[in-house]
Amino acid sequence: MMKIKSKKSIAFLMSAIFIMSLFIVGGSALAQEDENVIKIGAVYPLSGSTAQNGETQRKAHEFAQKKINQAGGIEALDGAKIEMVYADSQSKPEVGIAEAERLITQENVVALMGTFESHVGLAVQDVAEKYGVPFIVCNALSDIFVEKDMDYTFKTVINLSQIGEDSVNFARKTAEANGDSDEVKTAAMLYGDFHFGHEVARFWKEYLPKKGFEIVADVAYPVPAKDMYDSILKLKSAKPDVLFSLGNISDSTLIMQTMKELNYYPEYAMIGVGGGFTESTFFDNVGDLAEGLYMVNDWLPKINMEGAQELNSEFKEEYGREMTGNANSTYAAMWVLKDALERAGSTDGDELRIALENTDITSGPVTFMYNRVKFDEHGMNISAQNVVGQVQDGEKVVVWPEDKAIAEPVWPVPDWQERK
Amino acid sequence: MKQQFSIDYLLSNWNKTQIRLLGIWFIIMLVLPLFIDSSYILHIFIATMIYIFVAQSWNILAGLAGQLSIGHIMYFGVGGYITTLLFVNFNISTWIGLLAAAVGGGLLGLFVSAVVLRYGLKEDYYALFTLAMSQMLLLIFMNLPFAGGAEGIYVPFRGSNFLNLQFESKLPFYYIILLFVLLLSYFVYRLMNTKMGLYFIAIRENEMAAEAIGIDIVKYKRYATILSGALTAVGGGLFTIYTAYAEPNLVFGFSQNFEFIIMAVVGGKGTIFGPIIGTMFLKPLNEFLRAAYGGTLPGLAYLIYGGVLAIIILFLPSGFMGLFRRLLNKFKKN
Amino acid sequence: MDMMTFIQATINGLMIGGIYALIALGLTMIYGVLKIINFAHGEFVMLGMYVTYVAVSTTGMSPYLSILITIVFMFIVGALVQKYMINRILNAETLNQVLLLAGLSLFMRNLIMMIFSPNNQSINFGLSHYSYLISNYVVNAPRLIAFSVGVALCLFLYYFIKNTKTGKMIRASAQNRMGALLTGIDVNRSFIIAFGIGVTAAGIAGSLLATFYYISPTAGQPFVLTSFVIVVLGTMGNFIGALIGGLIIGLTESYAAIILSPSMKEVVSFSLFILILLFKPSGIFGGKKNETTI
Repeated sequence: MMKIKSKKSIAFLMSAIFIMSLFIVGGSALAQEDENVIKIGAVYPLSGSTAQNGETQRKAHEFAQKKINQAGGIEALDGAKIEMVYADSQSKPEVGIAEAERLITQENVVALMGTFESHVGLAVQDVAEKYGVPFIVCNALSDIFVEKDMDYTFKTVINLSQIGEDSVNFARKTAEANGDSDEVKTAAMLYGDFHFGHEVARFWKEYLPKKGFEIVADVAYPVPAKDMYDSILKLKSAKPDVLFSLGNISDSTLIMQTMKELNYYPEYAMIGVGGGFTESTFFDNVGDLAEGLYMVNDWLPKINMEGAQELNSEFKEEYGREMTGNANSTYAAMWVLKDALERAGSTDGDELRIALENTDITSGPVTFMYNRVKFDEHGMNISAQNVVGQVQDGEKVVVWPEDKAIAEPVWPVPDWQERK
Repeated sequence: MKQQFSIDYLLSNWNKTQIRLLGIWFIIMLVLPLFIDSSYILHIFIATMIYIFVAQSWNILAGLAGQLSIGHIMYFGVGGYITTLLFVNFNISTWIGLLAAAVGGGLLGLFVSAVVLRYGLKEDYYALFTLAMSQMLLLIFMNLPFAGGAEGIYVPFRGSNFLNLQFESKLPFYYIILLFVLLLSYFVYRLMNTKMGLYFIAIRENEMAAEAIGIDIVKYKRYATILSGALTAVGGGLFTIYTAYAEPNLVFGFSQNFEFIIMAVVGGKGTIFGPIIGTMFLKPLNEFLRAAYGGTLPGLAYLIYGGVLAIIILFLPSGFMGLFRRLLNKFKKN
Repeated sequence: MDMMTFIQATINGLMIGGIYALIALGLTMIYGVLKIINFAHGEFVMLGMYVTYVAVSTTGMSPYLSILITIVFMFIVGALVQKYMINRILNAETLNQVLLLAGLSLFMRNLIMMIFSPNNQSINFGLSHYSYLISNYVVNAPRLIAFSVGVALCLFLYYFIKNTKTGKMIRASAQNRMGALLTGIDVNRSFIIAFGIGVTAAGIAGSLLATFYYISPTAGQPFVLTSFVIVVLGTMGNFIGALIGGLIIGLTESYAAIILSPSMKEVVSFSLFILILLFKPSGIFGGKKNETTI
């Protein structure tokens, strides 16, 4: 008797859920038959372990969308408003492909942006190319994006290889500037077993010897990490002069905390790269443990660029976090797209592509980050450049290169006991 | 003729009924592309059919032979890597790569069954063992530089080529995978009528009794594992060639394990049509939920999906085919 | 490795081992009594983390005090889940049990993500990141406390299951359901309590983890498989076994990470797992093969 009742109730429940969702989807589909709107598709990991990073990018898009629309939308298209359409990649390329196809064929987006994770982005890139829809890579770093022969890909964010090179160069140059280049001889690498981790590690292994560093520890940690004690203990016994590290938000947080708990700090400096070490959430969680940490990224709040601080404050007021962790390159890319739409005066894929190819921006909202946005023949932004910053008194200040620096690097970075 | 469609007949020739369902499904899928012009929808069906293939492969070991292979994805991953490595590094045609994948999967199955049977792992312990194996393989491939490590292997598009199973449009692959699913399901149907298949079922129903009547359960469990492993590996190869990427977390992932298994169980484990109907229901549901909510309220999509799963498992333990059968029985009485 | 590293690695291994054991206690209870492979265990741990997070961030209370709230909340959750879901599948196939719990785990993870956002959280309190320095060696305070609670909980559960009336009823129900029913024991109630306790133990582990680990919807997942290894190693249903198993795994992983690499440490512990399954599946304290000793 119980069985019959429950069967009826499941049937009911399931149909209820189905019908509900149909209504909601149907409802939103109807809402789309709007007036003058230009849709831009964005594919990000919005669920799973990298959802936090996806959410950060979403905020950057929303921020830009708001400002662009407030400033009148796309004038060349009768003030059409920008509307972002987001899709979850679940960190899987096959899902990225499906969502990219859906955004292009069902939602009719004029361009795709994303995807934070390179292995997803490289799959999305093929889809965009097939349909002739411009794909603006604004927060996925792999060099492969611009090594493939693609007409519709435009990358505003730095290449991964630059991270490897710049981080090592910086360490050597700063040691030289401080006169202790002879003592700074050893380096250690601490990275996670994920795509970005292995790729950067490859570049580090190549560059470190070239700049006079002996690699005394090559420590890869499993992701997600349960515990960092063993990794940090390995570093402690290897005693590197400079530590090069990367990780997701969770890993980076654990790294920092474990270093404090095990009472370990590298002899001279710790250089962190990638999403984990620059995301707001990381800083929220580690607090003043991050003091002295060097970060390599496209942009940091305290930078010698026009309008940077103001923009950061505005973003912080709106979203309660600073515009770090690739939110900056994403925001800037929105304006680059806007600029191209204005010059193209059309949403046609090819015309937009040509407009993007002819991009040459030297003023306007992107100057907080780029001196000049121009794409080379491979679709790479020529002014995409790393800066190196350091956490000084809780502020993320740029210390390199000189023209963008606000402060001098503190080198060597004091040990835990020597701090207040 | 009427007798052939009477409920009595359908029920007592349950497998034949399912073959008819398979036939109907096949015809529908055959003509479906004529009504779809969206590459996106085509992709959903292709992905669904790959999942059906793997679910059906698993079904042979777990559904027919009753072995609790929860870490079954190990075969999928091995197949995926073999096929892509051969293609990318040696330009070996995908068809041969799939064959190699089958061999690899079969060998792994041989190894697993040898270990399991030598040490008498049963039930829960067997399940945990397969799980440990699949996660070990994940870690091993993660640390293998020639397999790409965490960066994985990108499969370059080397032009439209039937031998490589790479095409400009999705249509050819759609029909190829449809054929694979049809052949595999028909194979399962025939298998259930052979000595081997019947022995599998006997082992599933009551292992001790099967042994008592003289069935060499060690041998047949081994066969089931090798067969299922080989086919699952082929599924893995098809998947990685289609998505053009192989990476440890994607092809050995802990949660991926459950995706195929759930689809077979929801449809009806141990039945011919179960994996098909289960996957045809769940995969598009998954896609639909993600398309509707993935971008706006990401958690909601999986919340609903997880909830639907739990409800089905709770109230329909023998899946849709079990429900269908019960309904037929009910109508028969009337 | 040199002596100093070895000793520190040993300390690290013991600490993390005790914490693994803490997480595994609930799992061994559930597995030992109800014979269910609880794949949602990581999510119950995660729930405990969030209870402490909410309690500490809204009222500023000590995370250790919040454990009391965790106990009450998690027991209720566990009892409800058992009564309305687990109970229905107690006699179902193992596969269906596994899948139900997998579906439940997906559901819980995403429910929490929708409520709290996917962002990592952490709590900061007096002892955060504070370590005791003993000559050249370091012991982290919150971890030491978690370790101690783990040991205490283990002993408490051991005493409970062996000596209290409820504990004996649970043991009887676990060993022989039919027999227990026939002697008038309310088996259903025993199972509800057992599952509730298992979930509560997971919650307590979560609350303690929150004192030194990050808090996120997926934070419980990395520990699930390791917990299974420990449960099998220490014999299902055996709390002392879970503690010893936890310490063994903790030490093994700690040494493996130093000698090989952190990437490979789980390969070593999984290999150990496979060896146990092959040669002594009933675990350290097991008698004949496949027997459980609760």
